[in-house]
Amino acid sequence: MRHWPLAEVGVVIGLALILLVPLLRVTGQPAQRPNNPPPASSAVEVGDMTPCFVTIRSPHPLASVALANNGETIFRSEEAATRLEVDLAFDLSERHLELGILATWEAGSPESAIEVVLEPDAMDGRSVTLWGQEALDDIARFTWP
Amino acid sequence: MSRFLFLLIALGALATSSVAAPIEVTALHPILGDLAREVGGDQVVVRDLLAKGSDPHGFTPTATDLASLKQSKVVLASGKGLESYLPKVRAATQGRVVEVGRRIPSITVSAESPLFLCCPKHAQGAIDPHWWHSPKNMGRAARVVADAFAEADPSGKADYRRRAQNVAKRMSALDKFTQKQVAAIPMRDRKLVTAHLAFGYFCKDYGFKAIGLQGLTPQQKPTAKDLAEAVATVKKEKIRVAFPEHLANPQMLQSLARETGLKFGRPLLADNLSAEVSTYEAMMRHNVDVIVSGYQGVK
Repeated sequence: MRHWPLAEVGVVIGLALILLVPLLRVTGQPAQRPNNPPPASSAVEVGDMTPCFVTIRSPHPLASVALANNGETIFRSEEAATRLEVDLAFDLSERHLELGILATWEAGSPESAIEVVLEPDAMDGRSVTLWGQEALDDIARFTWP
Repeated sequence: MSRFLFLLIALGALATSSVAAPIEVTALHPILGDLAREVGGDQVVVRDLLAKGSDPHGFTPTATDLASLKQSKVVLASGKGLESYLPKVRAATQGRVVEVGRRIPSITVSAESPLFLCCPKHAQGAIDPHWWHSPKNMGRAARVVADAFAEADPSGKADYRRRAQNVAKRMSALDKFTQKQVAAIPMRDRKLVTAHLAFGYFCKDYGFKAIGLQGLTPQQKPTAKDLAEAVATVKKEKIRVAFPEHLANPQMLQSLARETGLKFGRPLLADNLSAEVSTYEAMMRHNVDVIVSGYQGVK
């Protein structure tokens, strides 16, 4: 007479319980909903601040770069890169922006340039190119009509 | 017994791996659907609500269409007023709609704008919804789509961003290609006569001035006064070629051609992709080829 396969049944139930955990994770989560869209306006603003995608480029690797607005550092990187991208937000209610740019290149780099491109939500993009050798401390000015 | 055990353990390991299911996306326009597939890769399943070759200006979703939106985690709309039915979509999806064009800079139709040589009065002051006719805008749109996908699926954020950057690079290359192609047309000849005002963003990027007989949609009819003004402008500016569109009735342009002697180029794709031209990039290259060869044909 065959014995009741208690050991095998136990293994199967145990493994079924292990399978249950990831299945619950996949099917049991409530649907993630994006935030309600902000009210329509000529520029997409959060309060007085307009979200802005910023690209910083240089033909030679930057050793460091920092952006400042209204005396406050708003972005800093010490990653050796020829291209950096960051999401920031600015008050563009006056259709004008000044950004302080502090940048360094590696010692021995030739004269180089740094281009700062701003793409504010719902507004035309603007770019400014500044030149420096090994270090740069300057102001980039952007205006919109 | 040991083989059976091994099989069960292997199945368990497979199930515990953390591969997320693709997110369901509905695009209200095939150009957005194309963009969504490029940015989402195999992490999204995209459905186009509007078929290729259909007119988005005249489209109204059925009750079945609206009900089918409930299963989508992300709904991508073009925005800028293109989809007059958007409130119904918002209600059906409880607000889960991303208006991609909202974050793109707008063009307003205005007789005072250097972009427009003449335009029907009923289009004055309206926002041009055809933002996709600029590869630069599509590069920005790729980021908007990536952000929308990342909000629905935070674990895929890096992948969506990386693919959006790749799209932006391709759009930059497409922009440069277009600049080089249209350089064959002298600036004084860059006046684009089309059935409706669908190419404002193209005109802005590439130094053209737009004349669209029918306003912002192909359904709008010009008045006799609008037609007379268009005839006067074509004659004054010495324009020699006009471009019909795949989805627009050519009758209005034919009336203009009878009065002015305009020749016709091949049809442009203004509002949608087609079965033969099924991606955004192919659409832009098709339109650039049509415009450049149209002008060269009347030199």
